[in-house]
Order: sequence, then structure tokens, then C-alpha cells
Amino acid sequence: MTVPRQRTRRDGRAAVLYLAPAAVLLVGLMAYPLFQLAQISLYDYNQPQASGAEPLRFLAFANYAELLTDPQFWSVLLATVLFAAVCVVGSLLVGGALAVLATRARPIPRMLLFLAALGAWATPAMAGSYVWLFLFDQDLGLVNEVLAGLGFTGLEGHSWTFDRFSAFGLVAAEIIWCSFPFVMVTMYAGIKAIPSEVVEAAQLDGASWRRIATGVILPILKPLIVIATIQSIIWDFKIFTQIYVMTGGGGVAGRNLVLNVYAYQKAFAGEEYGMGAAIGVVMTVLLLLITVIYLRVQRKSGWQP
Amino acid sequence: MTATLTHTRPVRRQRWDRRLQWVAVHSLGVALGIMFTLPVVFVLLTAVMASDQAMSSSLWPTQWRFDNFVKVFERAPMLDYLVNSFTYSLLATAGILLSAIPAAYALSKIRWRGQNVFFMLTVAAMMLPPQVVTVPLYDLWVRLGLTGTLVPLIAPYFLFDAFSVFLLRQFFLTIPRDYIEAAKIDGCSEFQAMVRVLVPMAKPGIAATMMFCFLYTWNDYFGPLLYTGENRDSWPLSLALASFRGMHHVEWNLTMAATAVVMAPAIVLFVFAQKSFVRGITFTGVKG
Repeated sequence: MTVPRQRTRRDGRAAVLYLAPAAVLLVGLMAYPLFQLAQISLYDYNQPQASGAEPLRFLAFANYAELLTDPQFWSVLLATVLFAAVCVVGSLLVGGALAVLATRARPIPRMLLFLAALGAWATPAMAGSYVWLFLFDQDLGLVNEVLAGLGFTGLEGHSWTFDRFSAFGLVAAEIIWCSFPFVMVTMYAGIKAIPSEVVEAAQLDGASWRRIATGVILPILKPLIVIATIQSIIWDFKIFTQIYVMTGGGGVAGRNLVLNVYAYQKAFAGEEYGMGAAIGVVMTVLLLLITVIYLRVQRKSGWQP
Repeated sequence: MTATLTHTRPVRRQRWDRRLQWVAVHSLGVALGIMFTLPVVFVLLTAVMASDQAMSSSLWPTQWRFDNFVKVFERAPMLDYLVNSFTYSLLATAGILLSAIPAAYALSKIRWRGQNVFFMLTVAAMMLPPQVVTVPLYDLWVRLGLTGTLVPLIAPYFLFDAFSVFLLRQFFLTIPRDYIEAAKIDGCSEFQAMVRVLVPMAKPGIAATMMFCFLYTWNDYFGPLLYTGENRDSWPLSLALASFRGMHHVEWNLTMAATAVVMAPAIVLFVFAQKSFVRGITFTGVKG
């Protein structure tokens, strides 16, 4: 549809008006802080400088050089990416599977499933972390008790938070637990919205159940799956609370750190504000990269207006 | 139920068999369902246990202590915290109605040059971890003398919330532009077209966005910790819960009862909003 030129200009004015508050916030509460963050990252800015006891020292990119040559940074970065990937895939699989189950269950089990999902959704991350820690507690935990009862006696008194991978796994399980409800509710609504005629027609044509799932249902659900995936990536890449609470601030010798907690530890616990800011900038750049990829994908699937 | 009682044995048996068969076919799903339902069940059951039983690995209460909930309200000013939580969540949700609807409208239904750039900024803002901009932001609110109140938490929602704008835009995109054009040809202004035509059509999507916003703010821990940490009077439930656990960590049953108190309002709200909520998600998804 072609739009008269004058129309476009007038519409543009309305758009500017509607977005003015958003622009104020984007500039004042995002761009300006980001600018400051980038600025701080260029200085040797530690506790003495913050309290004014020592003058600021301009370092240019020394903080970045130090960060990028620090092997711990690379191992934290790798851990963050892998950890986020496991959480995203896990949430999608669990949420998707339970959504399918919900469409095929009777009303009462379905209602129970939904209530449990909502309970998980409505539990603050902090509380959820404690509950999971207690369930997997070395001595008092229900999980060890049940596993021992089932015959895995070797697991009696087993610590789930000690080993690096098992600690990450436990946190991932908790994160999947609090993010599967979003996926489940979304997918459930999506599956319910598929007109039954579409599926019936495929059945009449003699398509197998598997063929219907991959050939009919999945393509219809694709936009929803994309939204759920992107949301999960955004959430899981910047996980803070769960790691902080469940591994006691990043685990023994920081082996369960993810980037967000790492930046916090450097900036606040280590009082190296300049270095903390540099990590923040690196994280922002990484997230911007994801944003660009996301927008590419979106444009390709023709979602632009 | 009465019908089941009158059934003869073989019929009941058959039904049983069918149920078992269903469970067998869906065993993986059922196992997942039980696994992911368990933590909530655990919270609710532990909340009504006697305190010595709560610190054990048993799941089923031997004594049902419903007075635990009363104790929670006696031990801490839970009512004040509830009021704070509702203030934060409800005002923030009202805020996105005022700010995010026009913004999403401008990003989906008006053609103008800066649209893509602004949408990109929105997505970028959504990605930005709150911790990254914490220090400068905190500094700003200190200078305005508003730390220790809920204002720094609520005010931004009246201007912008990236996730809400993003979600609403996706919903609005599913509504054909023709409706808006037709309204404008009939003499509606841009604003009237939005309020009278688009908003009623997008109600489910708006309900879903409100629900997400409510749940997010209800569970928010980092924000309240940063801005209201020093002033107990403005604490919302999430913060109170963490401190409650700190003070009463021996009384695990009370901590779980407090957790249940935090969960309850959100669940009740969802049950009421469920219909339009589920419909809302359907809208974005399938046509998005």
C-alpha cells in the first residue's frame, strides 16, 4: 500500500509524541548510565578512588587488555554460554512436553499441572533457590532420601553443590523449573488454537502422528517457539540470583561463576569498579550481538510490519 | 462421581486399565510433570508441618499446623509488605498501560522513518542486564533523594518498559492495519483510533502483557534490594521473604508458609485472568 507523503509526515509526528516518554527513559536511564559505565571502564577506579583518597588514573583500554588476557574471564564466558544454552534448551523441552501433556490430560490433572506451573512462576527466584537447595540437601534432602530408598545407596550424603558440573546442573534445573511455565502456557495456548480441521485433514490424508507433529503442528507453532526461545535466551544469559544464592556467590574458587555474577563480584566484592564496568561493557556488546542476530531472524521470517 | 459408584466391577476395572495405559503412553511427560510439580507441593506441605518435622526429609505432614500461617503474620508485618508488593506491582502494571500501549502503537501501526531504529533500541534495552546500569542509576536516585521509597521502582514503568512494549508490539502486529485506516477515514484521530479500535481488539494481548508485568514485579528481588533495602517500611514481599528466612531459618516450616503467602496472590490473579490471558498468547503466536 502506498501512503501519501504528507500522511507519513503527520503520522511521524504522532509516533514521536507516543515515543517521547520512552525516549526520555532510554536516554536517561539506559544510554546515559551506559555511557558512564563505558567511561568508568577506562579508568583505574577502585575503592581509594571512589572515596576520593586517590586521584583517578586514566588507563585507556588497560582494563580490557587485562580482562581479555585473563584465563578466568574466558572460562567464565564459556561457562555462561554453555549454561545459558542448557537452560534454554531445557526450558523449551520441558515446557513443550508439559504443554503437549496438558492438551491430552483430563481437566483435573490438567488443572493441577497448571497450578503447579503457576506456583513455580509466582515463586521469587530467591525462594525457589532455597527450596531446591533444601530438596537436594546433602543430609536432609528429599531427593537423596528417595534415591537411597530406590537402591542408589552410594548417593546417601551426596553433595549436589560440591562438584562443578553437578552444581551447575542443579542451578540449571531450578532455572528450568521457574522458566518452563512461560513456555508451557505459551505452547499450550498455541496448540489449542490450531484448528482441529487442519489436523483432521492431515489424518484423512493418511499422515502418521509423527508426520502431523513435524509437518503440521510445528510450523504453525514456529513464531511462538521463536518468541519463547528469544525470551529464554534473554533471561538465561543474565541469570544472577540463582547462581548467587545456590552456589554461594559463584562456587568454590569461582568455578560456578557466570558473567553477570562475575561482574558483580569484581565491582562490589573486589571493589574494582573499573574492571567491573569493563565486564559490563563486554556483556552489553555480546547482548547487542544477540539482538542483531535476533532482528535478522525476525526480518527473515517476515515479522516486520 | 455418583455414576462411578454404580458401575459394576468389570467396567471400573476397564476404566482403570485405560488410565494406566494412558499413563504408560505418556510416561515421560507424567514423570516430568511430577518432577516439576514436586517443589510447589513440597512448599505447600512443609508450610503446614510442625517445625521439627519440617527440618527432615519427610514430605507428608504428620500434624497439620495451619496456624503456621497465623504465626507468619504475627512474626513479621506481612500485611505491610503485602501492601507494598501490591503498590509496586499494581502501579507498575498501570504504568505500562499508559506508556507501553502508545509506544507499541507507534512501533506497529504508524509508518515513520525512525521505526526500525527505535524497535532495535527497545530490543537492546530488553536484553540489557539491570546490573549493568546499576551504579549510575542508583547515583541518580540518591541525588533525587528518593532511595528508600518505591518511587525508583515504579516511576520508570510510567515512561517505558522494554519487554512490555516488545510484547504489545507483537500483539498489535496481528491486528490488520485496515481497521485503523478505516477508523481514520471515518474521521478518527490517531489517538481515537488507538483507544477506540486497537485497544478493544487487542484486549487479550494487553491482559497477557499486564500479567507478565505483574509477575515480574511481584518476584523482583534485585530492584527492591537496591532501592528499598535500607528502609524496611517500603519492603515488598520478595525482600521480606529473604529476610524472614534469615531470621527464622531454623523454622523452615514458617519460611515455607511465608513463601506460600507470596505465591498465593499471583495464583489467584492468574486463575481470574486465565481466559483472556491464554487467548492473548494465542493471538501473538499463530499470526505473529
